[in-house]
Amino acid sequence: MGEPPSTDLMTPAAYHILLSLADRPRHGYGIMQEVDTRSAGHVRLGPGTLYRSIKQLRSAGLIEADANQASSDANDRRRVYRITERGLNALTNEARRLEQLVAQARGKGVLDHARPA
Amino acid sequence: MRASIRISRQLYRALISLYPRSFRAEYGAELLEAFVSIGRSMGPWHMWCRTLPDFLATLVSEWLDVIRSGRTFLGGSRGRGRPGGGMSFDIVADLKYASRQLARRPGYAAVGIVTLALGIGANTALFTVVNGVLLRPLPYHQPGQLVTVWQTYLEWRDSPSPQLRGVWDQIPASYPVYEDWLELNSVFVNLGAYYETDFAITGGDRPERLRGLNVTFGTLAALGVPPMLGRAFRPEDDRMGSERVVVMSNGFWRRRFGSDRAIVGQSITLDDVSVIVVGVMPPGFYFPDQGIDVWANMDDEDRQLGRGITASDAVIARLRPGITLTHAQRDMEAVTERIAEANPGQHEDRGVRLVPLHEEVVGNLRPPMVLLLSAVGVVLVIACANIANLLLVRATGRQKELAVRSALGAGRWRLARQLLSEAAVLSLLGGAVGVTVAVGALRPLALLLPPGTPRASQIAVDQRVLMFSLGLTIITVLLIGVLPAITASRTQIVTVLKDSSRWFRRAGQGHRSQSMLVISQIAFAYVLLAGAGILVKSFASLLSVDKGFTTENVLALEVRPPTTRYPNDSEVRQYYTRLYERLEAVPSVRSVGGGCCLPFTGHNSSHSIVVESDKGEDEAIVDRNVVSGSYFETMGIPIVAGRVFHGGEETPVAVISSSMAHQFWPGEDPIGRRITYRNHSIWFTVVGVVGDVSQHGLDVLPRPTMYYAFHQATYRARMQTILLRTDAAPAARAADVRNALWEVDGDVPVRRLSTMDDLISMSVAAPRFRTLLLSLLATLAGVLATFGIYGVVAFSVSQQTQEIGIRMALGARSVNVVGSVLRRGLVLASTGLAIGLGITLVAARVLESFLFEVSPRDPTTLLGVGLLLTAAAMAASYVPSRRATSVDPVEALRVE
Repeated sequence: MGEPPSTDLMTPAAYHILLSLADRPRHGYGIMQEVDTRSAGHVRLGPGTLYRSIKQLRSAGLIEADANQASSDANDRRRVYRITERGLNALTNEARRLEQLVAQARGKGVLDHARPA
Repeated sequence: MRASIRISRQLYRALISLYPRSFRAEYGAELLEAFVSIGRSMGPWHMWCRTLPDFLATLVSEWLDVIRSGRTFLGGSRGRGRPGGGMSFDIVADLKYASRQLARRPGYAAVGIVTLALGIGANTALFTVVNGVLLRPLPYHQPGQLVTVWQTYLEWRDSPSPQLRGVWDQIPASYPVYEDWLELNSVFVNLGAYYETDFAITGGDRPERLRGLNVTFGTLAALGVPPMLGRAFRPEDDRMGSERVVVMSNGFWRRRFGSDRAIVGQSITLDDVSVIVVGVMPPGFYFPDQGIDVWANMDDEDRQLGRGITASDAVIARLRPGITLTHAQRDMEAVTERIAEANPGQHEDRGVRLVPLHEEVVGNLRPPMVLLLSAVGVVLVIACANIANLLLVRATGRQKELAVRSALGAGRWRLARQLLSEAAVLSLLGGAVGVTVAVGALRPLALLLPPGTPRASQIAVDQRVLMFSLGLTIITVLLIGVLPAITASRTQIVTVLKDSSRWFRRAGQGHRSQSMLVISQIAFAYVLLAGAGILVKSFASLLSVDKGFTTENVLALEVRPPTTRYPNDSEVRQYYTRLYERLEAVPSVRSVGGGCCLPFTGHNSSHSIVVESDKGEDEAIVDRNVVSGSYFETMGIPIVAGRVFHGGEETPVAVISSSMAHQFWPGEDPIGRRITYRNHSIWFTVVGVVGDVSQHGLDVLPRPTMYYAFHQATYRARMQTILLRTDAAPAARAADVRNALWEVDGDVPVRRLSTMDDLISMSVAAPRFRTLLLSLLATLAGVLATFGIYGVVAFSVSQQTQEIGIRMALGARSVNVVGSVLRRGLVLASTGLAIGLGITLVAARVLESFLFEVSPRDPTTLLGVGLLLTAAAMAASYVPSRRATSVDPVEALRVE
């Protein structure tokens, strides 16, 4: 796991998780909620997918679990996840890649068609 | 809500335990937290919808990861016996071992697989129906954005008439109101008005009556389904003076025009008017229900109707993106207020109500479907209890083997897992067989559905159904596997291995679990059987209702002479006179009559009248029927007093029903009394009283009814339902009748030709469906529970073979032995029955809305079902008890 994962390995779920951690650290359910609201309900992560992706992102070093940010309640088992420098780079690369794809589509006039009613 | 989340939480915790240990240990607690948070914010239904498919997918990928890395394989050799440690290869080995074990005992495996297949199959089949009818999205573009818009009228909510009360919040709009909505709203992309009508198509070999929908441009536009050929409607089709155009359904296009693509742009004749075909819809498209043949634009007459409250335009709309239902409702309320301000005195007390289209289509199917789905779920639980029992018996029978393995170093978890694997193999095979059977059973099941069930053709196995079955199978593994696994893991090595006195041991842990299982089976079976029994009783009393008319040998059909050929009343009357003369000449027809409103067809007409009484004048709303020919004779409605119409009356006369006579002239002679319409100057004299008729269905009390003679009808009566009483089976006369009708006029189509018996049968199709299905499920539950008792009693007898042998050798009589075995069965049964009775009494409320003249706690049924199950339990216990007494003491003692 030396290199950051090449962008074509980044699943939509991983992309959304990184994006939701870009502005601040969040706990797992917080990530789900943020993805829900940001995508207006179009992307719905289930708990299994969320934590499976978190597991993969952690082992790739793109995010890390943060124990210091845990809530004052000692019984609160929720860890907080934060994006790493490496994660931020991967996110930026992926976003640039998507931007290029959109630009290419625009160049071909794909986006000029009106949406069907 | 709280309780359901708590139960879901426990279930999900169990599911999490199926993940590989490393994943579970790292994220298990957080998974559970997230799951519960979803439940709190979205409710348990969404919680599961969102979690179950996600769980299955990630479960598989996590295990694949584990297998690929081989990590835990190494870990497994280190941590032998540790729960969850080193599993991937062991699991495969476990499953193989379990399959071999099962293959060695094919009878036992078959019982398990068939039982589970029944449970999972029945659930899958019913869920497929529920999925097709209730859950699947409507076949339109983004169907979640579609709503229907109704007017509400507060004055009707508190009206004494149950009919008005029933519709106060779903009143169609009038055309001007629709136009106001269209202009003033800011929340809809499209808004369309429509009403159903029928057309006669002529100009081919035979006239045909079509179901049509008159629509405005917005209706098909809102649905967002493009036509397959030609075009849909355009805004200019709604303008005054526009020509009439139609879009055809695919089915009608194929049936009548043999899929001729050149039909687009040509004209056809509907109701003697030439209209242009502009488009054909794709196959599978329907709106508002299957069976509409053509959609036509409205004509100028439709557009000129006034603002009256009795309007006929249903309105459908598509919400603008991002607009919620609540927002749209508020906006439309504001629009309604503006309309009321602009039209003082005309729109007071009127409101507006938006209903999601999906809710409108399937809303009232939900309660019976949920009832049946719960019942079939209970059947699966009972089936699982049976198999859990079988596995427990197996675990007990294998105690020695398990103890030896334990002594050789196998951990408890290892032993438990082996029994879980057996449960998994049984469930997977049962699930596979069950789903296969369910797919095969779909067609017969769909045929059972009441006619007119919306979206019945949508019933098919799809991804959601398969996910459901898979989820069910996993739950089944847990239900049947956990108890035996726990029992096995508690095996006490020392006790078992040195146990030479096993046969004196009384019921231990295993027996207690078994008894609990059987008791819960009986309790559940009782609940289902009692529910089914009460529904059957209710259905029987529904069928035994005195309808007030006789249905044998009566044929009914609808006729409407088209306006273009018969423009005025006298021509319409002449047509019917000629028609009746001709029909009476058909062989074996005894009498012919006609009425506007045939019972049980949903047709109905009511109006306000003023009656003369001793106290002055009374005003009331009564049902109205306009009859012709020998209506009363043909229907077999008895004459209670006076006479019925003879057809030659000059002065206006009326016949009334017994309940109307009783309501207005109690204890007096109504003959010669007078009745008039509200705001009307013609007075009708009562000439006769006839028996009451259940006009609105068997479960609705007859309402006061007034009959007019067709030749004196004061409004333009055109359509009549013709009734014929025949000597022979009426269906055989159908062709003769149709030909006679076309002899009189070949361009008048026949509609809804059926026997009266069929009409009655259709009207009770819904209660018949749920009664039949629930009875089937309850019977299955009863049979499974009986086998459950048999299994437990037989096993406990086999465990006590030696004890019984010694008792017999010491002189015990077989009666005593049989008695003690029966007693065990009876104790189990009566405990289960008591619990079942308790549940039934509490849950009875659920059934209330489905019942007719029967209490949901009907004591006879509750007692009868109790006796039935007791008898079954006794029979199930008697068989093993006989076997016990045939034990040869010498043999019994030699077993050790």
